[in-house]
Amino acid sequence: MKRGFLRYVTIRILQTIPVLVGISMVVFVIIHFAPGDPVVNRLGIQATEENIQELRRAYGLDQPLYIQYLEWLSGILRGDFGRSLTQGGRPVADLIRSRLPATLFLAVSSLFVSVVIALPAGVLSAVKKNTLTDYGVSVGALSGVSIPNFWLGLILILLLARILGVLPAGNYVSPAERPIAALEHVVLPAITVGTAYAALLTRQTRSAVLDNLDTDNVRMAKSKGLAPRRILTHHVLKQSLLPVITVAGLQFGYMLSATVVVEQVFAWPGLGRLIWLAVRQQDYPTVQGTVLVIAFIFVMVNLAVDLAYSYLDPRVSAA
Amino acid sequence: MTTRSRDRWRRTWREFRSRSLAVAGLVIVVTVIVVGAFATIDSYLFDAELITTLYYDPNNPQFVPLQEPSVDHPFGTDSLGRDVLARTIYGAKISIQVGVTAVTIAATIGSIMGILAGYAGGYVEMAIMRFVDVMLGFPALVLAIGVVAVLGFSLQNVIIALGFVYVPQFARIGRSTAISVAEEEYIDAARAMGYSDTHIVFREVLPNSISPLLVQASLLMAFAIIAEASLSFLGLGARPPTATWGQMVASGSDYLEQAPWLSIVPGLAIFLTVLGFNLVGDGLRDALDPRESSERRF
Amino acid sequence: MPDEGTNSWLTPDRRRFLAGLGAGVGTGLAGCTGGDGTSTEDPGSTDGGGGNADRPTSVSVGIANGGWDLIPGLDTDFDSNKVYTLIYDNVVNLDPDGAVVPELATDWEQESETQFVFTLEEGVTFHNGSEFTAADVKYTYEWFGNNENPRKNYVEPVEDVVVEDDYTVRFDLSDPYGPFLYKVHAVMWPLSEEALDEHGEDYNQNPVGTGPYELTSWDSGNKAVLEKYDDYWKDDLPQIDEIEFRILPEDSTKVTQLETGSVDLVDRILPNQTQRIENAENVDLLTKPGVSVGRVDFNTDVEPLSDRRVRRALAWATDKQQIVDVVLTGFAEPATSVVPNSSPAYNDDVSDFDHPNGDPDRATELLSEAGYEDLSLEFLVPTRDRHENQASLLQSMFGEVGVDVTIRTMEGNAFFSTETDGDYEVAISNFTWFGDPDTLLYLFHADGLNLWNIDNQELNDLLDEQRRTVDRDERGALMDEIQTIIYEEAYSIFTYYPQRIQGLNTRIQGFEQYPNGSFRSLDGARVSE
Repeated sequence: MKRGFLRYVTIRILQTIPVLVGISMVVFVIIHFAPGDPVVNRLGIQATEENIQELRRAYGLDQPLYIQYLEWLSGILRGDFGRSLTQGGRPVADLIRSRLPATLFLAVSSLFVSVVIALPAGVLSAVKKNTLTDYGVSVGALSGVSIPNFWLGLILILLLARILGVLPAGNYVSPAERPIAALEHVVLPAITVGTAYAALLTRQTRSAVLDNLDTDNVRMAKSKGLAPRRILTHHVLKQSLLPVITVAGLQFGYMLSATVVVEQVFAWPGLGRLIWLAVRQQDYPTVQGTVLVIAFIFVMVNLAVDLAYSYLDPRVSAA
Repeated sequence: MTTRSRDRWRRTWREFRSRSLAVAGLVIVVTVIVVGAFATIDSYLFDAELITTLYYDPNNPQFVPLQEPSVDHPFGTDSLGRDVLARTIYGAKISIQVGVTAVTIAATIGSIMGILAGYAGGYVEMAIMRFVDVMLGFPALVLAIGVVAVLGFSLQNVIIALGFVYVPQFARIGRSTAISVAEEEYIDAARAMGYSDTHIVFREVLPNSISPLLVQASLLMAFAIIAEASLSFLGLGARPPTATWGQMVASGSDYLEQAPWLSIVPGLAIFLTVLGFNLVGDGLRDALDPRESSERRF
Repeated sequence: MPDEGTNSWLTPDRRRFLAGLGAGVGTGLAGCTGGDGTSTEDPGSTDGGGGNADRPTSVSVGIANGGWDLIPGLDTDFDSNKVYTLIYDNVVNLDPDGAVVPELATDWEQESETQFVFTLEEGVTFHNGSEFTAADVKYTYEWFGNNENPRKNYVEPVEDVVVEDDYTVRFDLSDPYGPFLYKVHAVMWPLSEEALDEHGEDYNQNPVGTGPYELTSWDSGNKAVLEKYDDYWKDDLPQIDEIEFRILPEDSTKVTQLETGSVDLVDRILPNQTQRIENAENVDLLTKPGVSVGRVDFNTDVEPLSDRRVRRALAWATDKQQIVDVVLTGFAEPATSVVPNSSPAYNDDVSDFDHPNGDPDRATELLSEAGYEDLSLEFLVPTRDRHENQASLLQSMFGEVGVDVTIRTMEGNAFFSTETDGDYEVAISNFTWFGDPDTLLYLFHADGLNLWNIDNQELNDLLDEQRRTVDRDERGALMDEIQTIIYEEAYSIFTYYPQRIQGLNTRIQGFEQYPNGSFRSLDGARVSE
């Protein structure tokens, strides 16, 4: 079994490579077609034809597209994402590195919030299938995915930060420096990002638990007269966790999208604000680098979830 | 349409009608579409004359700014002195336009790609599905932001961006139905009878893909509307004075305590509309296949 | 989310251009971003209450952009100068009213129309210990001539710089040049040749000036710390030991940090955020006439707008007071001239068009006299809340006099190039400028940037003449006349002069506001416990 798993890991990792290459191509091509000539933009209105040609050569922009792509890609692989057009020529890699902790902190906190909401709600809903509780949870979950997160964030700020004054309206504090304050500051943004995600997970938990309530194991346990609570914790929940984790991974992109928007609401200094500012200032190298990194994180999370799943469930790697 | 499929639609509708939440969703969706259609017709054909005659001009800053909700202005006035209700009505136009056009673009391109992949197989399938994998490697909204960054901030570009990023969802469905249909016996029969591939695709594969595509379209509509609102909220969508819900929420956020209705009203409009499409999508799926579990992909 | 109209089109392309230059300079940075780069709390500024007199005083300042060019004059952003004005001194300075005052030059004299002699302060040292002399002034001038930079043309009128002795330096101009002293102010922040040679590529992290503060640490994109220069030549200055620059690109974050006391000073607060500052306990809201002017440009190549009467009619139709009240929530003055009201050259006499409220009836009358009853125009507007809001109001005001307006929005850079190309009818934007008014006025010369596609001979002549005129009063009179013509021809409608809005923690005393938002006066400020 162990060997089978290793083989599976290798195959999955190899499969990820073409996807990542494809992603880099899409990002490169999209940004390549950005309006305006980067050289002319750099030289400003005093650009002469001679200067333009010279700079074009200096930047390798006279090369065929695929060469430019390969050079760009080899830069990326060496951790060179180019330089920002607006932030004083700062390396994009630096900018991303300085913003990454805030985004990861928010994403992890949101994941925590959504799991804390989703697991009990989903289990409850499944156990009490077709009751008013189930119905309520379903409507709640549907509302959760329908609520625009930026709006939810504003409402939370209005109610909890401005009117009641019980929680700060976002405003990132580094968890490494002041852990308690950091947690306090992350509560509202995490609820905002986590709500829709919780809704997705609730539905998944519910259907996973329902599926597992119906297995032979459970029927057997029931016939043996085990307490329902014990059956639930020992047989059903354990089995249900796998598909829930899978969905959590698959939908992680949704979480990343949500943080991009919600960071804006809470002035959260993460990748979302970086990309927002870069888009507003037409700072294409920064847009390019940030989109690439976000997509990379997404693909990696999916890979990790996939591998975790196959590790926990040997049937997958055997197949 | 064959009798077989007509029967199925009738059965689906009966199922759908029996679900009160789905019906409630349908009522919301129809209402928003009617309002959006009114605003669309009014703005393109009558230059906003209709709404101005019946109520107020949504784009003309003609009142005292930041008025509280009153009989005269049920949702108050915004920071420039425009009626918020009139702008909310016009906001429906943008949401519906973006939702419908973006999803139509994605559905058309995506299902053609998917059916082609599923039906043709081989290298065609591999190329298309690798492309789909790559697209799914991006969080949808982040990719849309990237596209808009390059194309520029406008309604049209938001539609293009969203139409582009939702292609893979449809391609997957197109492919799986194409494969499952292609395995059916009647396809072999059709082939044996000498029907052309085009005939088979259009007469057999496409009609059978419609119901899953429809469910997906309804759910993605909900997503496209939220995505458009998010882009507008970030200032990357249609620009003022065009009224969009997302942008109304954003500009109201400066007056959150002073005039909370500025953000609350358009946000509620987004919420209800999206909820409506989600309810319809869910209801439709359950009605089409009542046994299927409620797993969803975004 | 709103953001200020920072996109003063005087600079955007240069900003891009500079990005290329900055690229070479930032290399040494990648290695020094240790630790967590995004902390937003400052343990130093939360006072424990103890009255320890020996404790170093520290002030923390929030600014929007983190990438600075710390060679003065190389910058094209809005924030580099906030940092380098504390690291360097310049030969002559501008006071908060925009007048030229002594700094490293104790005095200057005009030997002829084309010769300026500066007497320099003695006993001034650079941060690296070397003494400041006239040779450094000459070196700085040559640096701007020899290196790629956006202000090369500032030193072009200078033919030669002659070191007469260690503390006397003479500038020889090729022709009489009215704006000369302002240009000196803009680029003559003496550089140390030794330091530039020594640090080369890494100079931007090791800038050396003669100013009150030294840069001691710079954490890319996050914060920078300046520490008091102990051998500063001005007695007893500076009083604050340490100034920390915190990079806060977002408007609302800046305000939040100010409210919570984690920064003490913030520039460019938006009018709609002022309420929050006013409600905050330990923060003062500082306002002063700013350096910007909102404008509505008419392209005179476009049919009805070539008619002066039409442009004037549209000026009559404009209610500037309403724009000020609604778009800037009162934090502005209705504008008249192209020159901002904070400038000494501002002509406060120009007024017409029933300023500031306008008169729609008169506008309608004028339009029908001119024979235009059913005009339709297109506004070109950059994607900025302020401009877009103004466009909405103007659309309604013009609509009232029968002019049908459609709005086309565009990103800042695209907007700028589209307007420069003349591919517009009416364009809405703003100018931002602090320094010699020639820069603004000369835009209206047929050979200037000339966004309006005009060729007004009288105006051309006056513009050329003021450049040649060195006598202040004479030049002032010419500039008044120029402003009057620009106003009355209504090439543009100037709508508002926004105020410079800053927020300052009440524990800081002696800070003086500059119209351009400079933090230079921190050198004389104190922290009270």
